[in-house]
Amino acid sequence: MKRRILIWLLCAFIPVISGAAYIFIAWQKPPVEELSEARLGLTEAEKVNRSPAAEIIFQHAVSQYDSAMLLWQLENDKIFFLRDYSQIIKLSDQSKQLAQASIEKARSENSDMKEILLQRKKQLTRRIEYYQSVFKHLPLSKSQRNEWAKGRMLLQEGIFAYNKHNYELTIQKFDSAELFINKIMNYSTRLIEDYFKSYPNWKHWSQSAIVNSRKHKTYCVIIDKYARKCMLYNKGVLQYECDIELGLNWIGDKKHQGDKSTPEGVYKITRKKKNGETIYYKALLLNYPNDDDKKRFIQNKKKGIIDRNANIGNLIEIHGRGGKGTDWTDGCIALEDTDMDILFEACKAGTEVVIVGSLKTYEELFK
Amino acid sequence: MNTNQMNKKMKIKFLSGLAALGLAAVLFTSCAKLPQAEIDTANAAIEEAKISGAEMYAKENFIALKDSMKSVMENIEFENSKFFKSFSIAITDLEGVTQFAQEVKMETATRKEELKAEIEATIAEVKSLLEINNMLILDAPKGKEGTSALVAIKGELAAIETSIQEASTMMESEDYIATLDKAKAAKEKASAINAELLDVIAKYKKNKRV
Repeated sequence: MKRRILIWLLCAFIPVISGAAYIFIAWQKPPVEELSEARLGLTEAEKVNRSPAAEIIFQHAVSQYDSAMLLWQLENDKIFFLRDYSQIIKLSDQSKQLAQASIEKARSENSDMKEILLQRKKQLTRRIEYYQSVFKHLPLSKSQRNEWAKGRMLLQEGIFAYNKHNYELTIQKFDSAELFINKIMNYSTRLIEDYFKSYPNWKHWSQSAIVNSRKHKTYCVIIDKYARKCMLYNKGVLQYECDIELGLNWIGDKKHQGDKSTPEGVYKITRKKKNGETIYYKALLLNYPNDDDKKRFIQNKKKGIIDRNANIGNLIEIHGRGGKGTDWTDGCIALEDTDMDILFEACKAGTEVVIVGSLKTYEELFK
Repeated sequence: MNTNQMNKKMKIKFLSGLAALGLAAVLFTSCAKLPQAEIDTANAAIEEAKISGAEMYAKENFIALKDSMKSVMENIEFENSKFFKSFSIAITDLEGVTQFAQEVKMETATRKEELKAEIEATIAEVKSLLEINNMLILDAPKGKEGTSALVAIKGELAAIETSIQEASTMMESEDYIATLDKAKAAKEKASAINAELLDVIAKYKKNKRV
């Protein structure tokens, strides 16, 4: 009897023990650690400023994590010894790795972007500084001035965004700023290039004046419009040099009365106005318009470049009351009063005055 | 009772015991249900915080909030994987997440109000600077000299005015961080123009001896 019970018990427990052994072998530990690590990776990645490329990697990491969680739910619905967490662990690991890759990508790209934008910031700032130094006096229309100001404003906003590591906004602002800045820069460069096509004439006039001054042992005055300089030569030797101010629309030759342009050419002083005879301290009246100016004026009228009713203008002087730091005359050349004293003393009626765009070539100034 | 009958009775008792154990296990495991209502409440609170702008104005805490929710969901799933489940800790955690979400939402609202006030103050400062600058222009030398000297500055002032108008429009769309940056840039520019303007006027007046 006892033997039969023992056999019966053995028969009953063998499947139970085998089942328990199977469950022990088949049972898997839930993927808590793997998912937790993946989640922490995602959280770290989320804190970083992500570039578009890093964002794509990050979103992939998020999707792998979400898939792992969903799969875990599905596995939990199964009987415990039939659950398989291998795929969940795989997805969690992938998510963790992708999150790390996203951080590395973001850091590397942010570092690159920071450097690129720093260079761009410097480049744009340099361009503005270059403009200020080279094209400072260039006459711009109101709308062009507004565009220039807008460009500078956008650059300022871009620098603010850059300092706050908002590189996407920085790019936007720099791009917009660059459009305005380049537009005005290109316009100014073209204007100056065209203007300097007259350089051979300028060179010829100025050299002839110096040669005449030496030959006839006289004074002569050379006005360099671009450099804003007035040079007094005596017997062919530079004796005195000072700053000048011109008309607002100084670039190019004077075309008609009221165009606020300073004429270019070879002139003579026709009259000396003492203090009291002019509101501009002292003045040296020039023989504008000369024969060349008159001829050109008629031609321009015929070509329709200037209005039929326009006047050629007159009363172009070298006078005092300068030193205002801007171009403000109606086409005259303004000097500071102390400089005017020296010039007034040296010059007399008949002294040659040569007004040129520049004494230096385009290449010397801009290349 | 003979031996066969006794064996049969024992067999029945043993099987009944096994069945009872199985039933108890089923009962235990099916007693604890997922705290779905609490999960939904927490998710709704997180969504509200997000809609309020927490992602932008309370970024760090919003990231921590999302991490907390994910962590709770992992704990829930861990409990779900157990033979004997208990979601009582998870429920407490979910309540904590809901509370945290409300705090993040409040922090967002506070930050937005702070930024709004800062923008308004900056815009007011810029407007005041613009007014001063415009007054200085009126006070500046009349005639052709003054007009020429100030023509460039007028362009700059126009750009600042446009920028401030844009900032006001941006503020209406509740993009406070970008708006503040724009207003600050305008302020910096207006201050620089102010200094430049004072310099031009001083230079002009110094040289005016008529």
